[in-house]
Amino acid sequence: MWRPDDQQLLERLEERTVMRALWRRMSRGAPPPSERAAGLVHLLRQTDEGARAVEQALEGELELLVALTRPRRYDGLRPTLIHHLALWHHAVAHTAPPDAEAEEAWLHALAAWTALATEATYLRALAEAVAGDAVPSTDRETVALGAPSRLLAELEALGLEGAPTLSNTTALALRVFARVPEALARCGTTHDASHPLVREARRRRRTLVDAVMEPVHHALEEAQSKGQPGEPHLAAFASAVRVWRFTAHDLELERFVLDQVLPIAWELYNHKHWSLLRRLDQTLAAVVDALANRLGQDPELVAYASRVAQMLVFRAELEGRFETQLEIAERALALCDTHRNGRLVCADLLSERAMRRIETAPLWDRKRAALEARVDTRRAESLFPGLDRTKRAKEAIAREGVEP
Amino acid sequence: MSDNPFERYGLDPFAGPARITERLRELAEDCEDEHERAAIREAWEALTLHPRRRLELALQAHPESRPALGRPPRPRRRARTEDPLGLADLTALPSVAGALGPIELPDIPLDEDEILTGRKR
Repeated sequence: MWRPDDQQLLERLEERTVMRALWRRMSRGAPPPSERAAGLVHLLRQTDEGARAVEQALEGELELLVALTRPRRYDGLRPTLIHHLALWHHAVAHTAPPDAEAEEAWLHALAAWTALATEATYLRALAEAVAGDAVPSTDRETVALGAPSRLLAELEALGLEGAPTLSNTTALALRVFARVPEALARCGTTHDASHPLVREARRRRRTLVDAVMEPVHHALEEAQSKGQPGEPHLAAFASAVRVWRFTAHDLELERFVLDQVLPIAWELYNHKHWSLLRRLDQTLAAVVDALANRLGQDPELVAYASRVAQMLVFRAELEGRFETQLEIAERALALCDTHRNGRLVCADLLSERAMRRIETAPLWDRKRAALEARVDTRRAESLFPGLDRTKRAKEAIAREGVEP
Repeated sequence: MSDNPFERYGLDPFAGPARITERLRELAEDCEDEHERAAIREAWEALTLHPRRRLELALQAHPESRPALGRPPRPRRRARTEDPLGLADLTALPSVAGALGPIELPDIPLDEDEILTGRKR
């Protein structure tokens, strides 16, 4: 006779089998966790969708169950399920290869631990049962609420281990730290920059970036000690760009590069080392462009507007194609409309364009060209009055019978 | 294998120090490997002497969220007919008397039997 107790035993065995298969799928081969982790499958199985997922898993199809272990929101789930999910994703994060799935595991672990930290009743009951009065209430809170922070500390330690070799784990840690607000959004917590975990993640990310940048700092210092800017500087900046790409375009690195490169670029400019300056510009173009793109979106970066504009002005002056030169100069002015050199270069280029308009126009169409040229010279004068080239352009306009 | 003693030794995080001690003592007594016994002792210290550590480890252990198992079914009495038949079942059982061979028993009354009465004839 098939009894309810037999059914219960069968379900327990099924849940253990499914848990192990799920673990193999998510951790990709690591030894399975404790049998009690099968409680996760048991809890997921309590909904219709979960029951269907377990049925499919028993037939070898695990993806629906995998999806159920990654809820969009953690607030509203049963505390025991959140606890299982926190431990599950934490264990997966530790054992899976450092790729996109591991990144998801870290973020889910963080979301689950953060959500669990808000389950005061569950945590109090656990603490009472486990330690009674032996642990002061302040310590209890530290243990329960400190779990997300401990997870970030673990990730930083793993990242620091691989920092000297720019390991995949370090890159993973940097990506996870940058995505902490996303994880917090999954548990209904405020996730703006003021959240303590967001601030902690930013600080730990900074530590990692500093660690991966250490060889670049040394290389730059060594290059500076040799006096004149040259190949060692270029090599150091090339390394900085590699690290910047490795960190998935870290903003602080962009600022650092801009701060470091400007005096060197000026020195090359003043000594007319055009070839080196061109190579420096090409090496750092992606970093400068990235920061230029951020400037329009983040008002806090306004202090960098003039520095980015100056790098663009250097680029405009080094550019061989006239139209592109003007385009770059206009971009520099769009970032910082009070930038003196930007206004000067843009005014000069506009005046040049004014003269070219008239010179290249057919004789029968010169008046119309002069009228167009006047738009350029007037703008040039508004940007930087008194330029020789503007004067010459105005004279050319006047020769065509148009009031300049 | 999990590093968490609650999971490694199948301990219930909700059990108090006394139950944890009892369970770990059982495990240590059954253990023949010296290193494993030392690990059990270390786990015992972590779990019973440091309540805060016990709480930390309990938080790091999967909670038991499965229903407790019921009773196993009672074993059924083995019926004779369930024994598999073999060739031996088809052969006639040997006679004990036959095994002893032909012997002649003395034809005397019981009250004269020297073994029963203890008297020599």
